[in-house]
Amino acid sequence: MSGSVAVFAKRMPLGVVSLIAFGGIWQIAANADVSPALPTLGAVIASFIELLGDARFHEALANTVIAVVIGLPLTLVFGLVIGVLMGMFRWVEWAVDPFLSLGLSLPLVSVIPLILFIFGLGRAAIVVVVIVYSLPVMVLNTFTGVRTVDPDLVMMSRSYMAGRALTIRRVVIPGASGLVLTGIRLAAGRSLKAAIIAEQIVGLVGVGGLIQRLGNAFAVAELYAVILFIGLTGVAILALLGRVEKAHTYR
Amino acid sequence: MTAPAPVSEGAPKTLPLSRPRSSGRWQRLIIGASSVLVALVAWEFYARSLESNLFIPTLTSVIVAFVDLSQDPEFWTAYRQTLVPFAWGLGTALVTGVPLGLLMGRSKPLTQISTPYLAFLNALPISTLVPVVVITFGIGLIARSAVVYLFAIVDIVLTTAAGIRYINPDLLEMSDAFGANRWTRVKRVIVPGAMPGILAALRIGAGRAVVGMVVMELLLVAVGVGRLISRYKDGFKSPELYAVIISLAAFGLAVMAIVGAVEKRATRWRGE
Amino acid sequence: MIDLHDVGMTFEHDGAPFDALRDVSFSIREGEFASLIGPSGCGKTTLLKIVAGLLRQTSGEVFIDSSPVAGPGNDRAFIFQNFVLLPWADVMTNVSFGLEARGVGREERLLRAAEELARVGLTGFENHYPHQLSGGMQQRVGIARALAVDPRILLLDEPFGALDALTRQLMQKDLLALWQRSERRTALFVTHSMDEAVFLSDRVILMNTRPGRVDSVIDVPFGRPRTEDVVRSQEYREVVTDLWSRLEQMQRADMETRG
Repeated sequence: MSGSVAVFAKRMPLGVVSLIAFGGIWQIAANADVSPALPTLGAVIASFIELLGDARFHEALANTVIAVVIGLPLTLVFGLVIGVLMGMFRWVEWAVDPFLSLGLSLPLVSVIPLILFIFGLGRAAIVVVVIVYSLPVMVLNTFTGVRTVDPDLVMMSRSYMAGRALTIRRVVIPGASGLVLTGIRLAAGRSLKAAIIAEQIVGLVGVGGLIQRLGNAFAVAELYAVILFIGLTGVAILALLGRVEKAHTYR
Repeated sequence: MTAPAPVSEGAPKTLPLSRPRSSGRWQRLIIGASSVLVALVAWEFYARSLESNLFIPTLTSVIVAFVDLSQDPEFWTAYRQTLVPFAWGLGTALVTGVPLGLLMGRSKPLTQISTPYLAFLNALPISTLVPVVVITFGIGLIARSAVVYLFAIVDIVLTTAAGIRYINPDLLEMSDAFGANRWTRVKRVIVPGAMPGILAALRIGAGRAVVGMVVMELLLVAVGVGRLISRYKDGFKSPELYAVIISLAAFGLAVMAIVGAVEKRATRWRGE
Repeated sequence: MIDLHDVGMTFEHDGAPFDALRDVSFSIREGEFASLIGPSGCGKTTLLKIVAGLLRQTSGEVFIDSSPVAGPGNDRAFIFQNFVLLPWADVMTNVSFGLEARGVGREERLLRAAEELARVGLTGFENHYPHQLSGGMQQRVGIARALAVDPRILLLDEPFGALDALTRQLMQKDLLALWQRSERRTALFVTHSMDEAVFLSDRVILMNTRPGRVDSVIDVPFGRPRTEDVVRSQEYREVVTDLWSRLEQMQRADMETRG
């Protein structure tokens, strides 16, 4: 990770400069007591460091991560199966398409109160939200990946009389794997966001719940620290997944 | 294969390789519609089989509640209250975001300067900023509009900036050759050339604004649709709750459909 | 061994039917190497795919040893112009693909694949990936893959069309040697190149276009085993020139009717 920070600094010197400038402006504004919502940079950094060792924070983090760790694999498995079936059989595509389009164009946030209503305020509900949020994008990318497999390869496979299972294993899945990885990256990103926002609405558990409680208590420095942590983690995860995706070409 | 789709193909296929013919279009519609129908019917039967419809009301009761709500003035008032911050938030996001995106797309230094913030805001779930907004602005109209703004702004800027790449550099050279001043250049070449990107930004921004609006309603409950939702939720009036939520989803779809149509209309000149 | 009776193929293009092939009839004897040649659009690749069982003809019959063709079969192997190797699999996996499809066990697969690789001169490249190989080598992998399933009939669709001229020549010689050394399977070879067709085949089937149909069948007057010297003979030049002029006539007639 420090490697990519160094790369960032080299490629975007102005970015680094602007961050420093931003920090400076913040400090000045904070010291001038512009708003109760603006703690000093020092307070934020101190909270951040404290946060990393705080047991309550660890617990909240664990709750969120567990919800994702349960939900995301389920999304990946279901998404893969549905996407492959859709890609291989036109009638499956046509039957699933209305739901897929709905899942992609609806503001999925609006479904969260329903899910909480039906499943209660516990972990199960959060997991369901995670799945509902990340499944459509996984299905779409898997389906597209399967559909865009080189038709010549499929024809070659047919000419050698390869059965369906062998064709799926040797031709379809490797051929679709590029887009499947994209789907995984997108699904992972969305599942984290889903868990957090669901937790915020519930208000009790996980990182989302922590944020709501800190907000209600006007604990600004801690709040900013948590937000900083989430944002940086998000950037790191996206960068990592992006790199995995890039490494995955063999031409 | 560039050969046209064969009329007959006896050998078994593992993947469909041909474009669906016009008969396929009907099939597609029928299968799609029937699968939705099956889902709705399954919902109805499942709900009826339950002892208590407290958490899962029947489809019919939801439809009835929907009809009742549409005649209830309080419902429309709630929506009106919700739409004001939506419009303000989206509007300001477009007005500030599009020019910023255009500037970014044309200026490498500016891109470098803004990248850390945009990358951070892109990775962050914007909902986490809502408590900060509340602490800063309270829970009035400004705060609500600010939430919608924050949800929309990042994608608007990024999409517009990406759309800049589609400006034909030859056209820029041509306008320079004719001695056009900067304002004319912007008006005649840059803005029209960036238009597809801008319209895409409008579409994506509107989608994000809808999400922001719903988040705002759910986290800042006092007025509008959010109040209806919490009232029905706390009162366990599930058909009404479902109906309101479906109306929210429908609203989101309607916004996207309208914006999508605007985008299609305005990019007709591209000949696609 | 391969018998075609009045084979026709009609495609639908934007609602209007279009005859790619009409009333194509010919027979290929067992152990014969025949070439299909003709101007662009004469349907030779379509015809090859019909014999392979990858396409189904809209009229007429195709028999292999008196059994009608109903799909791809164990008795035929196809070699593609663009090699069509699995880019994510190594050479060994690619060569043994056909065997894997037939359910041959792993050890035996590897053994037979290694034999074929040796036959095409690619021993040592088992663990390479297609993108690491030149075009000629990739096609040799394709040929090895086809030979590995021990087909009675080889179907080759302009196998050297994607290669540069020099590689092409070398591959032609290699194919000739390979084919003559092995049990001389029946081969149906589609090509654009007159020289290639005459060099390799026992018979050349010249096709006309719009609609695709057989124009004439020419016996190549050279015996087997053939060597590359054949190319320098007077007779060879005469046969090739004759074919060229026929082709030219066809092309000209076609251009005139299209106006």
